[in-house]
Amino acid sequence: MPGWHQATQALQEQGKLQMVGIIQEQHPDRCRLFMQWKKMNWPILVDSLNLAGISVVPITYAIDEQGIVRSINPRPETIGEFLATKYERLHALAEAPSKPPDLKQLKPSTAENTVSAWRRYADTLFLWGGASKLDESIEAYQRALRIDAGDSVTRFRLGVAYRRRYDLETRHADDFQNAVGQWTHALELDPNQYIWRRRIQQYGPRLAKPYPFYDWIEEARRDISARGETPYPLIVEPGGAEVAKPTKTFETVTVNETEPDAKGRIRRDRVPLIAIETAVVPSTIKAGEAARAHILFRPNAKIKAHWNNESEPLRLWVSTLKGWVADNQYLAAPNAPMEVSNETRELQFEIRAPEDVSPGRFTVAAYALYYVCEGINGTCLYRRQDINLILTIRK
Amino acid sequence: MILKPSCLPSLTECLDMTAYVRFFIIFSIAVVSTIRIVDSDDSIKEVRTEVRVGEVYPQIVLPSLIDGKPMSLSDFRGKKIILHQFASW
Repeated sequence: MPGWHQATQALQEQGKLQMVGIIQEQHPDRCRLFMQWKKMNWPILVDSLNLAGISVVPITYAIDEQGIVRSINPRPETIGEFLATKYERLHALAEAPSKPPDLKQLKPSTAENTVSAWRRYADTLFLWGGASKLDESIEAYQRALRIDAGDSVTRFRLGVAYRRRYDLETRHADDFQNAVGQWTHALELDPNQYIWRRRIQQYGPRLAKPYPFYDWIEEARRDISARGETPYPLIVEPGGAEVAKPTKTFETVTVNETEPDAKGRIRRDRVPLIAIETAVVPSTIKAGEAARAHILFRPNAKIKAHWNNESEPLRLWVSTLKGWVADNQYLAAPNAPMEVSNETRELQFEIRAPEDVSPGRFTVAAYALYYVCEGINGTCLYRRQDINLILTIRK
Repeated sequence: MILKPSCLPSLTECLDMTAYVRFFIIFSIAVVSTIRIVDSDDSIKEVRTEVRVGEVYPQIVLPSLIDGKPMSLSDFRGKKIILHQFASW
């Protein structure tokens, strides 16, 4: 779309043409950074739920003064012709200004207990209810799915809502895995929906990715800072899968170290001082395919747990099943530069299922080893925590 | 479809505009009906999967990226618009 930006900038400034964007992203703030980087000032509508119902981006529409679509995917060089054309007036221009639907009026009554009524209510809560209505939105999508479990659109949107909550203070530990589960299920029902497919690929294995997604962010920030501006801040910093380059073969890292605690002697973190959240993307794969595991480590805020940054960094050992391959069996998360800190740390790895594996559920065992301290000036301990990742192989 | 008998060798030339449009609509319906439309009870507020040339772009009210305020294409009536649906990746 920088192509469109360049082609239309002068026309926009002269007031001859209005550019409008609709973005299909889970994290719209990243697009705001993109716009700042490219100096684009189009009005942008955020459509994380894909209410527009499109199945691929980009799509461009030339729309006349009355809102009528005159061409789809026109080339930028045909703009002059579009602007010169006088279209027949078919209806009045005046319309009421945009306002969101009324939440109170929309709540489905018992009489209209339909998928679309509940889904529309859920959409409205998600879009206009703010963080406080997100739980209710999720419940309303679930109500719709109880009426029709095969409603793929509702499944996709429920996934978007789960992931949105995962990025807020009100997160449930399994929100991300639930989001991926809904997206995976939705895509199985409608494999041609590329907006949904991108949502999985964004967090998924490198083999399945069409492009890195958010690898431009560092460059954008450098350029913006060099101009003397402050880069627009992001709510969730993209990392791991979201910036990783696609690969054509399953690449593995050679590990020369031996298993750190093969005999299981290191004391388990039973409190736990570090809460671990996991997600496997996608939630089901076929034999021979890869999945990406996301492991998050959150210091327990209630007991003021924190990392001891003067010791060995957090490590993760992955014990693969026979025939399964991990791209890295022994991972490390770097320490922060200060003595102690309590940030969330994340490790990601990929695992590939054997070509000849039968459908079913498999457990990939891993364990984390870390130095963690209790309370302020409290004792620092070396602890182990076991992690079981469930991988489902489908037909 | 209206076809003049003398024009069979060159189909496109022989269709008058109305017939061509009608043909296009019938063809489009045939294509679009293969796409699963999820609910039969969808009201006008629910957007269909496809928007076609000649139709009004559906009135979808969405939050603006800059301030989260409600915005839709109808806010720009009276201007010619290029609507670009995209993502920043």
